Amino acid sequence: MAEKLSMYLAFPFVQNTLIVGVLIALCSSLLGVVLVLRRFSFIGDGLSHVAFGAMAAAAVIGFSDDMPFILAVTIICAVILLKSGRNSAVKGDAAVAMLSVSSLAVGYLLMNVFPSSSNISGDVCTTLFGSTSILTLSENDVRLCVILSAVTVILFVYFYNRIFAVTFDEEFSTACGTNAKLCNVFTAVITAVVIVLSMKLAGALLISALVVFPALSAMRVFRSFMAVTISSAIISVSCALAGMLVSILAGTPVGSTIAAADMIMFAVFFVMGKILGRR
Amino acid sequence: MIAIETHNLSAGYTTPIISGLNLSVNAGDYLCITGPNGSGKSTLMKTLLGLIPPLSGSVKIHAGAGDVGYVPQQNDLQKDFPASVSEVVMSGFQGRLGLRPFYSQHEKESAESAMMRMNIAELSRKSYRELSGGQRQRVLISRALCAGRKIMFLDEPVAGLDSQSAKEMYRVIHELNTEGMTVIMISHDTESSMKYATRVLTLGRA
Amino acid sequence: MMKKFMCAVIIVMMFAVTSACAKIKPDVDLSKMNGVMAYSGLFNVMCNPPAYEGKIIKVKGFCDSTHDDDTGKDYYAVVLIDGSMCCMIGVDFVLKSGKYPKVGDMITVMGKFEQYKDGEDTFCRLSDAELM
Repeated sequence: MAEKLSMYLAFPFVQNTLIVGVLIALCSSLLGVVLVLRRFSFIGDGLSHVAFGAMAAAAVIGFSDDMPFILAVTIICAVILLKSGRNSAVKGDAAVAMLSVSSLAVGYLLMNVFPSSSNISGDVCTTLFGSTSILTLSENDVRLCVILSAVTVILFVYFYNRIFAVTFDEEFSTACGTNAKLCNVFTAVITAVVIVLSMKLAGALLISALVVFPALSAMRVFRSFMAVTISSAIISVSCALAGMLVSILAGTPVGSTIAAADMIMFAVFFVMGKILGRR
Repeated sequence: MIAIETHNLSAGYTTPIISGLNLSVNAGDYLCITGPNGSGKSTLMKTLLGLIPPLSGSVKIHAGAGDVGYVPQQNDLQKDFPASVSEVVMSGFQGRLGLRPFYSQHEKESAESAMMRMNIAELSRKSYRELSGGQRQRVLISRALCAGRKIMFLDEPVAGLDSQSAKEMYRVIHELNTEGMTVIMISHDTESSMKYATRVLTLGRA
Repeated sequence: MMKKFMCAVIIVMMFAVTSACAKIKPDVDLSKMNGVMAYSGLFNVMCNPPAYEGKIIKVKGFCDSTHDDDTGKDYYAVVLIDGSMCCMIGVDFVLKSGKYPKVGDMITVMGKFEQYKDGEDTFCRLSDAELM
């Protein structure tokens, strides 16, 4: 098996897959902690459907590189949905549901009425489930993913204390003079970017697994925000790596394999939490 | 010396719940704001703090950025939040970060002393969600002490506490007041508020 | 004199036999990979032709063929399907010698990857290919 693995690893496209996959898993897990704690776990799904719709629209309009358009549309929707902070959770979940399902429907409709490729179901399948999209990245894709991931991680570390403060108590933060509204907009933009990137790894339908499971697993056992953030990142990267390696060796679709790894890890941490007597 | 003053203040979200309020609080005062539900106590406090803009009139707080502390009502999201006590208390210093990403050693030491002041130093590594109601309030007061030591706003600090813990909480707040802190507190409990307060503001329809 | 001559003959014969038996090793061997990886591998090759120009590529898939009325020629390709059976990718091949397989047969083809012009368009194919 080690021999088979080294055969695969000799290919540049496989090396790219592993590097980009790990970086995406890292970013989405950091973001996942914040989103789960603000009760926005469904945002991943909602925004990925918007991105799918944007992708279909980009194909119809005829963009050769659709990434900037998809990022722009997804960022705008993320800001609209997330900008009111805590209040959004009450008014916003209906908005997310409507936006999400409309984008999916319109996107699929556009792809069928204005077909820009000969294999619609194939493209849809790959985009929704991420079976081979991470294995077929172009040079541009790889560069973009690496840069955006690096920027996301650096910004997260730089604003870590403020992110914690606003997530824990937005009212108190505003009273202290922290610009909580700006913080929320900023989180929304980063969320959109990470979601669009994660679609390449796990597909639009499975993104939530990538974003939500590592954070939930970490919270079962760890008790401080720092410990939860760091362990969420480690869990996510390990599951992504394990999932990708299994997928490469066994020929299973990448997105589902990673999601399955995340689920197994959650079960393990759930049991550990019970044994350790955590509430 | 005046700590807080308002001129003809009308406060509310879209329609005024409070109108024409002229208030003047001196440094070292212990002001208790009481009134029935819906009379606008929290709204008034948020307007004084600058969280909600006044509908008309003005609010002036004679204090700098690092002088005001706020203990808001606890919300649902926090009950399950994975954060250690020291992380919560440290977040009181967020207003002083400026362009710095991390807290300084001096700020860490100040947080330690705030926790000792509130008798929760031994809980610093514990998780916030594992604490009792009374312990959580002490943590939030420590956090407010980190944010500012001259004026402290407290919104229903004894809500959800048993009578023993509530008595203890009032005693702690009174101690802070005797040390020179201006206290502005919202409380339903008129009896206890009369015991310690130097001034009382009652809101509601006449 | 006779001994030296016999030695020379044996050495020459050994070279002849060894070179006849020496297998050409492919630069890119997709035939041993599972469905997902082989598909992705070929996809990457077809998306980046200059990087693979001149390389020996070995592919396993099923045979397909089309007839172009304009040129009057038959074109043969080896086609792969990805693991989830939703996408296909193929590459043309031109045999060095011998009969072409039937459409639908499972084949393993090894040939030199090259780009070529047919009219105004550039295509890719495996040339000097052999069926294995």
